[in-house]
Amino acid sequence: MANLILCSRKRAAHPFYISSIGKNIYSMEELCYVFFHHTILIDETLINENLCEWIYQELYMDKLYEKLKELSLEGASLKMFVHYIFQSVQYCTEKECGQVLDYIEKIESMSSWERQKLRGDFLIQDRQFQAAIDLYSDLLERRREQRSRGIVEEAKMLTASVFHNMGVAYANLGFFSEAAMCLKTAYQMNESFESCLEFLYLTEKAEGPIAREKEMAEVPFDESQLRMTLEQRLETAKKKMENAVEQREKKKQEAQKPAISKRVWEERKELQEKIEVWKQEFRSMTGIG
Amino acid sequence: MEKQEKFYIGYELNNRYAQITYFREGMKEPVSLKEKGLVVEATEKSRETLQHTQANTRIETVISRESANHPWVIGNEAEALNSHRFMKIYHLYPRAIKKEECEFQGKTVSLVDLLTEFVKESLRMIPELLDVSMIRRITFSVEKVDLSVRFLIKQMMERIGIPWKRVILVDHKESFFCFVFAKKMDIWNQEVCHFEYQQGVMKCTILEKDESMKPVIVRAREKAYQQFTSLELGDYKEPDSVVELKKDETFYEIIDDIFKKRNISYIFLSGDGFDGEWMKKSRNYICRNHKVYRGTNLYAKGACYRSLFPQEEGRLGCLYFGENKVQINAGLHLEVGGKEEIRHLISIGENWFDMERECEVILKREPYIELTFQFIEEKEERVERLQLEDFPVRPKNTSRLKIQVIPYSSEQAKLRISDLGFGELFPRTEKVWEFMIPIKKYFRGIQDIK
Repeated sequence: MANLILCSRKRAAHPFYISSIGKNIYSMEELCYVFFHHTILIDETLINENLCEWIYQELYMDKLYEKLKELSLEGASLKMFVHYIFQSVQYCTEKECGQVLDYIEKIESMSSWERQKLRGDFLIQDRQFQAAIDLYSDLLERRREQRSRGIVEEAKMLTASVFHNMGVAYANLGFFSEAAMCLKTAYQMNESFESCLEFLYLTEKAEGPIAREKEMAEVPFDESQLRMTLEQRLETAKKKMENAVEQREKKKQEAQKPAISKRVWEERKELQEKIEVWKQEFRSMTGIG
Repeated sequence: MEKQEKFYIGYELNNRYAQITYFREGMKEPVSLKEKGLVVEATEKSRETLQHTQANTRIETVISRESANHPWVIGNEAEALNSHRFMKIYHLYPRAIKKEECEFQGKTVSLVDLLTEFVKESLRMIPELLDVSMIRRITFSVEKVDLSVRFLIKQMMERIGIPWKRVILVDHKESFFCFVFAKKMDIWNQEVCHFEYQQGVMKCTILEKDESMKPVIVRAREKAYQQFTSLELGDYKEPDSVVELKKDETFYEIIDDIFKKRNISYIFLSGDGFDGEWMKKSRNYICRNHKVYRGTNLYAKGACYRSLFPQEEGRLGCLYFGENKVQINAGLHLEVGGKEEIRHLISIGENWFDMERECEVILKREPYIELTFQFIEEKEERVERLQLEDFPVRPKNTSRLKIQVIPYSSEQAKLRISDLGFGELFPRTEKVWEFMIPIKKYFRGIQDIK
């Protein structure tokens, strides 16, 4: 099996910016990579007139450009656009293309609220916490508006899960009070043990053990089980922290080492050992030193 | 007037002079340029058995000008300038290869610049060639091609404004082959021989065919005869008539030796050494049962035919195989459009100095590339795996590599692989891997350049 894929075109002189991942792309292969690994982010903000123009002007793919324009006039689905883009490049295997297209079909059948929520979840996995918070905030704002107009689009559990994940995003950015507030709302809505546990953990992080104890007295779960799980959670977090500090120290030490390759380093070590042997031989021969 | 790409040019460049043969669409035959725009019919005019072209088509590689405000003049026009008042620069080509500089009208000028001006001015002599954009193809024929010659021609073409893809570079032997090949095919019934006698040196080139191969392989065998140098320079006391007699006798012996060993049907004579009437006994012998042509512009004409028919020989089942030709096919194992394919990087029969290829690929799995080699006269293929050591760790399908074949010598080509990363998603490193690939028959494995 060949280990190389021939690139369809040269890289573009001017990149195309994908705001949802905050990165520039320079080739069709990179675009396909984004489609494959960030499928949930495929929407009209990514596949639009600007992308078509970029494909035409920077990559000189006239035929693909015309096809995409045609699809645009027909009001074709996102799946169709992605299908033609994949076909023009051959970066992914047929199976991989199939997976992406199936997933797009699945998300196209979801409500816009569910889709947005999934995007937020993806952004958290991708460690884009601020972007996830912004997206969740928009969703919750929309929810408030819709409720005021009497429309209830989303399920209660889904909203709770948005609050839960928003709390996780805040916690990752170090905003523990905001995180604890989100988790409290989440567990009040879904009455989940997991959300409650996270809420208590973050309350301790934000306000200390007294505040945590106070909140613990009010939650409707078995206190001993909650306390044991929380202890474990805190212990794991402590170990993680210690490991992180250790790793950081190691990296610092590595950075202070001279930047030479492993091979040169080993050669130098060998040489030093040889010199030591010669020194000893010299000393024993001459009696000096 | 509408400018069309309709000129095909053959340009011979040597240490002393240049010669140009050109073909414009609509012409019946290529014509050779004589200075000041005069042209002379380049087709051979029969004169019993010895046929030759009389016109002087040489443009001496000399350049001068009256002042910085005057245009450059070359060849005879430069020679006509008063030597006491105007400096003339001679032997432009060999000096430009050496990248020499000289003082001219109070300034230091590079010989590359002067040769560029010379080539530009000489091309202006071609009637109806209004702009270099009208040149569809130009072939330079030089004595020997190496990287410095290639670099010089490329540099000049860039300055003149002729895209490199329209330029072909060949040596004199290949030009001769092109000239012969363009003639009627009956010329090929037996072997073809070319004697070039210039500046006291006689060289004989014989084109021989290997019909056991498909396509038919044509090789050029060359031999230099030093006897003529010693005859011309050796003993000054001898009268000219005696020297001429000895030259005639020596040439007779040479051709007799060749005719005994080989079946020669056509003989070409070129070079000013054949001027005069010294050929008597040898002339009678050479014209017996052979067709003999004499001309001065075989190389320029051959180069012009190469411009006209760049791929013709291969199509007609015949391949010239000179010393510059690559004897190996090297292909890259690739996936193209979901299908496995071998993409040729180096092809049998191309000149080693033309092997300039590049492509970009995505590495799928482990950091290695696979090349398939096949040598001329061998049916079996050999697969070599080149490991890219210390390759950066990245996920699958996120390393873009630039693969370049760079001409290095007539024995080896350089394969350069550069890491391009994957845009901003996985940034590039400055890592480059280089390997030497043998391009001649004897394969000793690929050499990794550390």
